[in-house]
Amino acid sequence: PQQFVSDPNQLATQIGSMSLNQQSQQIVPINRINIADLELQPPPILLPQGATAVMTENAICPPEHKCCTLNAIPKTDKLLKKAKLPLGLLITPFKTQDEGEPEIPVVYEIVRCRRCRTYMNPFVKFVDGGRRWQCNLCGLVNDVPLLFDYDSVTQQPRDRWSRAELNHSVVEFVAPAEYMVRPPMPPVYVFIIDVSYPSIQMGVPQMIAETILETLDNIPNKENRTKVAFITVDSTLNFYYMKPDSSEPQMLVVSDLEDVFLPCPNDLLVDLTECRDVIESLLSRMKDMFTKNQSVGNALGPAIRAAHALLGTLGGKIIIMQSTIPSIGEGKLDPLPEDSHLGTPKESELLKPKEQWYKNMAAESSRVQIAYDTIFFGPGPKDLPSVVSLARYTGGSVFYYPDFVANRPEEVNKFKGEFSQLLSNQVGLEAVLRVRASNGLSTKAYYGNFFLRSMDLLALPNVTPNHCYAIDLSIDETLTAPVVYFQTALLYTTCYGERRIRVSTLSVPTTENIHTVFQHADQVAISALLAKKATDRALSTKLEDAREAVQFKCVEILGAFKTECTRAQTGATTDLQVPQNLQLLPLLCLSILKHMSIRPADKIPVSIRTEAINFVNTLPPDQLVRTSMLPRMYSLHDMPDECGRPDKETGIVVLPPRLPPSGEQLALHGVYLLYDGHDSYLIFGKNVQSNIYQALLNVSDTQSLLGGVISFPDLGDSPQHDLNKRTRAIMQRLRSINRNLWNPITFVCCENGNPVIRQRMMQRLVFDRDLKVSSYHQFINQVKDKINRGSY
Amino acid sequence: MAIKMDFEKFEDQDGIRCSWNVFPNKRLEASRCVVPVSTLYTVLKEQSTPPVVYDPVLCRCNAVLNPYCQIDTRAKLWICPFCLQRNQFPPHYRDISPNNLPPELKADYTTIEYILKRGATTSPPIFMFVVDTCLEDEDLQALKDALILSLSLLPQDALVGLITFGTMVQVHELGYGECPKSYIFRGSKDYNLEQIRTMLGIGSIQGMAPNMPQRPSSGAERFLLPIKDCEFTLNSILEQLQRDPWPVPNDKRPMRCTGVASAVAVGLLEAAFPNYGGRVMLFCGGPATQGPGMVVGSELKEPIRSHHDIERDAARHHRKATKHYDALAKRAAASGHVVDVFAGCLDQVGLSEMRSLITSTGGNMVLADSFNTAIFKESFQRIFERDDENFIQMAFNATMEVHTTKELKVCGLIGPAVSAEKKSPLVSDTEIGIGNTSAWKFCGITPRTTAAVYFEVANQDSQALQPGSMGLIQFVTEYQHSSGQKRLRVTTFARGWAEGSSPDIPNSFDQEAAAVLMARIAAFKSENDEPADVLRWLDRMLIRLCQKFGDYRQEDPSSFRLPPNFSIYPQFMYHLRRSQFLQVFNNSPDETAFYRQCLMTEDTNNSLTMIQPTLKSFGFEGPPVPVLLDSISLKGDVILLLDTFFHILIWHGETIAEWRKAGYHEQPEYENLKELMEGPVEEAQELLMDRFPIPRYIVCDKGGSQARFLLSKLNPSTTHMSGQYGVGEAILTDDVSLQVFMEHLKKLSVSTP
Ligand SMILES: [Zn+2]
Ligand SMILES: [Zn+2]
Repeated sequence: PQQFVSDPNQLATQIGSMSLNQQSQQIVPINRINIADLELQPPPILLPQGATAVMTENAICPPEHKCCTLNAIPKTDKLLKKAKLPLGLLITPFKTQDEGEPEIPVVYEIVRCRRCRTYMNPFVKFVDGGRRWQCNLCGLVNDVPLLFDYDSVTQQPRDRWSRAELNHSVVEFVAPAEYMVRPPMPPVYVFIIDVSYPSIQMGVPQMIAETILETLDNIPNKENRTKVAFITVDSTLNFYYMKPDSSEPQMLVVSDLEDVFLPCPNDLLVDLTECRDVIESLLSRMKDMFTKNQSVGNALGPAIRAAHALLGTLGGKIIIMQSTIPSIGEGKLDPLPEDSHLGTPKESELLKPKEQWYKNMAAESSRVQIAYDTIFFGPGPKDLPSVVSLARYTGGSVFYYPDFVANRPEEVNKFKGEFSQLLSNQVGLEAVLRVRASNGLSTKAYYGNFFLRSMDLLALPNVTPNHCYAIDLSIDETLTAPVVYFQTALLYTTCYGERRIRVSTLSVPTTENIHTVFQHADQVAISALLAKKATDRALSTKLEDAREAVQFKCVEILGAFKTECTRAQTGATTDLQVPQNLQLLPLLCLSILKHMSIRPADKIPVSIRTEAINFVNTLPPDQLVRTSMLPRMYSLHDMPDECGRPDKETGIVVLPPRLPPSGEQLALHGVYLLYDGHDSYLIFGKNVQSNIYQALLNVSDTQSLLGGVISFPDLGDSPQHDLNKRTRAIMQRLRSINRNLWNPITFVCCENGNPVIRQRMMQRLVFDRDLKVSSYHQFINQVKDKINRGSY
Repeated sequence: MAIKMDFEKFEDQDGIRCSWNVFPNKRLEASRCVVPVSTLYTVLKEQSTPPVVYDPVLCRCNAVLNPYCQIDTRAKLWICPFCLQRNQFPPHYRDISPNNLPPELKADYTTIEYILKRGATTSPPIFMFVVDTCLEDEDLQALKDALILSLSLLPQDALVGLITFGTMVQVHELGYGECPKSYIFRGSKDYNLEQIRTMLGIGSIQGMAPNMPQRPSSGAERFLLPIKDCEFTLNSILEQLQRDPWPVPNDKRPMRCTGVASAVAVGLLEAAFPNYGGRVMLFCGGPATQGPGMVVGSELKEPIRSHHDIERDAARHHRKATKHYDALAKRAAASGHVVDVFAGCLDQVGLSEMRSLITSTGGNMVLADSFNTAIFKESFQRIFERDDENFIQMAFNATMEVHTTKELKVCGLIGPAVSAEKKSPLVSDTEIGIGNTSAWKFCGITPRTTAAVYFEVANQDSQALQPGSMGLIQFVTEYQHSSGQKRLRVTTFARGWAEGSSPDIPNSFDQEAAAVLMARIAAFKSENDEPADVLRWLDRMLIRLCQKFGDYRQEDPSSFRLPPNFSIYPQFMYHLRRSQFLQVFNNSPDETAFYRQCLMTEDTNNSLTMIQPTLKSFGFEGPPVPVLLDSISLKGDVILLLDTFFHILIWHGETIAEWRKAGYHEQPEYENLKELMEGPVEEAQELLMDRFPIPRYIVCDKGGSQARFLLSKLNPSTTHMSGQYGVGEAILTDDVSLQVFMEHLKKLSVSTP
């Protein structure tokens, strides 16, 4: 009941208005943009009166969970084609709750449509005096079960209108036994750690062990059921035999890699709680265990095979920590000489997996509920494109630390922060994701890390929090209904052994009016979808194709708007017009082109690109578009006083106003923070006063910063370091906005500083021209020219 | 007239016992003597003379300067008696004179030991323990305790290694300091040497990073370390050693990969320490059930093969397993490594298949019902016994070469050795045992190790020998002493020649040595030939010997007499025929392998005990006396002490047993009973003292089930068939008695050929 309508005014703006057409967005020229608009909510979903069973704002699906690129969907495919706008869904089915967000309501009784299996949701219609309900997806009238008006927890009759599933677009059902094919699996982690000579030289295993050791308490283990195993790999496989009553692990080496086998039947995959002492003992020894190791080979394939055998039918997560290229046994890869191909048409070929073994293994793993996270270290050859297939098809994550060396604290901090976050994630286990849509709509293609089991079912042995899945939709027949629905159900096992179904229902009105379509287009969702499609295209065809497709789409959309919605239907215009809600679309398209994943350049190593592509593939729209593609830039030296401090009401740290990432914004006396999630840059103007250095970093000038890489210091609470404190708070807030996925390194750009770092920073100023890609103004002029020439 | 020869004196000085101590001087005559000119040589018999610390003087033919050489102290020359070559003494022998002779020329140095300088390596011996973990907890504990104890018995600089096995093979890296670490091999796979080498990272620098600060060494030092450097690690691994973790269903045997474990152990030593003395000590608690070398399937309902199965070729795994171990044995022997097998199991473990591993390498074989028995524990400890100088009594990687004067040729050797493949003119075409060579390799050798070497008189009838000339034989054995020193043992002995008709020849017959030498041939033949054929051969040889040396009138058996020094020989043959060496069907194939292995290794006296056990009677009428190995010795008021070498058995006659049960011996007035009962026990303890392996010790009463061990050895002069009553006890057997045997023998000997 407490989740009932809380803000009638807001509700009125969203529900109860049929007059979509009257709600006109302002039309604006694209050369004058307001970057702050990026933070705005998408155009509202305007539902007709009576669209919901209960009057509640919570019926509107939060776009962070699921959003459609168009918040008014054309009734016909013809209209959609005319508008040229992409129609798709962006789903983040396992989103973590952000700061200040309430928990997702939990429901214990499951009511579903007999025919299409849709779950009870806020948009069903009750008929026959409430005895029956009509499914909003297929229209079938179902009986309302008796339990529906009965609280199974308190064993009392209850008011059905207060039921969470009628009041919330996103709810979590507790699944009964029918939803299980076996008892819920425990969290299981198998670490495959590269301990070959190069890895040891970089100090990788030591840092991994240290981080795991420090994170042991945060690994999900509420029910004391969590299991772990360690396999260290060089040209042999090392298993660790750990007995609960023993204080030291035993290392068992298997060097017969032709046909891998487990060296003993038990005590390799062990209970984290029961074997805590011996696990700690192993991890503390690991730093010294391989100091004399001189093996340069790596048998990742056999290690994976062994891990499979170890997990048997249990399933679990295999975390691969790789510093070198797998060179022995199955899945062996040959290093490719990539340098000469970078920046040439051949580059695209390098990005594709050369060895299908990893993909095949991933498919095999998916069937037995095994997922992979792949983490890479160091600059040497690794063939990421092949190896990341493991994560790509099992719902896993990819991280790459190209400059990792154990004696660089900044690199180490970044890794440790991100790795321990990864380990601490409350992942979902043995999951499947099903997407249902109203009649007339169908799903065409999916983007993200998963294995497609059938056209509407994604298999996710692990569902990583905040991973996003994008879907291309097609309109197969005219949508007669005023509203269409998309229901997503994620069936998964929690880390504490409960089987649950997270269901989200998105309702979107339909329209015959092309103005309405444009005015309800979500530029953030659209560009996220375009970015994901672009990386998909880069991997399936060529980088050039991907870039052209983005640019073409941008031209097409703006052209269609011009043709269909403005008076200057034909002929040249000096100023391109867009509805305000699409104002940033050209800039966002340019940002896609400038993103590490597909930007034209001749020096981006394949590994770096592969990691970037994976991020594009998995990040939800807000993170991808608002931070990663279009970096956040803030002025620190002159930010308003409330910034960097908690908001009085919400307690959430206030961010300074966003600046367009452009060199024009950088004043000589100013200090700026440029943040793209993965990295952050502190940019010092030439004439920054020393008191600012003092206040921010406790240094007098840039002398000590010339190395270019720092760990942002914590100078405490003292007033003279207020700037430091506020900046820290801002950075912390930014991490939180990005759901702690990254623990960015702070790079310092200052006069006489490291030119490589400056160059990297400049590339992130997406407004500006760089060697291979236009500035924003050049870009919109090109777009305009193409539209004016009608040559798109 | 007959000179009574003191064979034992020769044995004491040189470790030599010859069948004939005067050689027939013609080829034909010699062959008529039936028993070949042959010798039992206890290579490393304890010496009264101390070793000398210099290199020997060699002839071009490789024979060593010895007391039988003619020397010319003035010309500083010596003549090699074997090849008749004149040799100059080396410069440092320039002060040689009749009064100033180096030890090797002195008469009491017919056997001399050199501590070599040339090519001397001071490499300590290597011990690789290969431990079965498919054991009951109690058994495993006993084995662990024994191993831990052995660490304190080993020389502290000895290299030790540990391999454990069950379903898989686990090679422990003792040199790894961070935690217990081991390499695992599949128990079902046939790994070749190269695979083992690569997988353990030994002796190969492949797969190592370039520009490494220090070049990796052979890699084996990770697995084999001086005991003083790894005792702690090894102890703690042994202490924590657990039973094979793989589950064993109720109807199955444990998966045990003895074959792979031995292959890995042999391969590891072969890769890392070829031609350095070392031994693989393999502890088996049961049969191999998988992989190369498996002798029985894992299903319990499948019984392990018997002699009958092997004979009918119905033992599914026998040939394949034997082939596996034979190949391993060859490799181990080629790299100079010993393999010992300790079986701790009531059932068989597959010794029959593994036999060549032990016999080819001079290893020990110990057969115990479990590792938790005195037989195992004490036998195992005894291996590490020290000599007066505190060195463990084992030597390694020996090569023994024989030199003879030209009238003799070498037919072969029977003993725990392999051929060193040395072709020389003195090799005979006739092959007895391991022939076609004049040198053999003994990977492992102890002060008891005794080789039987067979010769042929090559002298044709036309060639007369100079009167007073001697047949000379020299054994030159280079070996690695347990101190790590390279040593050379040289034994040179001479025997006179005589015409075939000369009484000197029969007078020189050593019937004990001859019995053992013939027994070795018979046992050797049995490995390949049908048992019946071997028995027939043995009978034929005996009859021929009796015909040649017996005194009789044709066709008159009652006239038949043998000279005194032949008189017990037929009895030896009688018991040999009945022995476990030739009558295998009462034993398992493993036991047969074990018995024959002992016969092939032990010295003359021990071998004789094996052939014809000794029986001593303890009674009230006087001091204990040796009695006939005959059923007539079974009397109610005596205690018998039987020594078969493998068993030491105390048997209480009926009356004694009753008294004991009544507790008389605990009453002061029956002190003499107590004394009587203590006598055989004390003597048994003495016998147990210096026996290896420890015999099975049995105390039983008349009629007890254990008494069968005694009864089976006795001559059944009174059987249930003979129907005699009176003295002794009837034995249930169909065997002919010695008396019947002798009657037949006499009849056949006197009949016209
Ligand atoms: Zn339905
Ligand atoms: Zn010579």
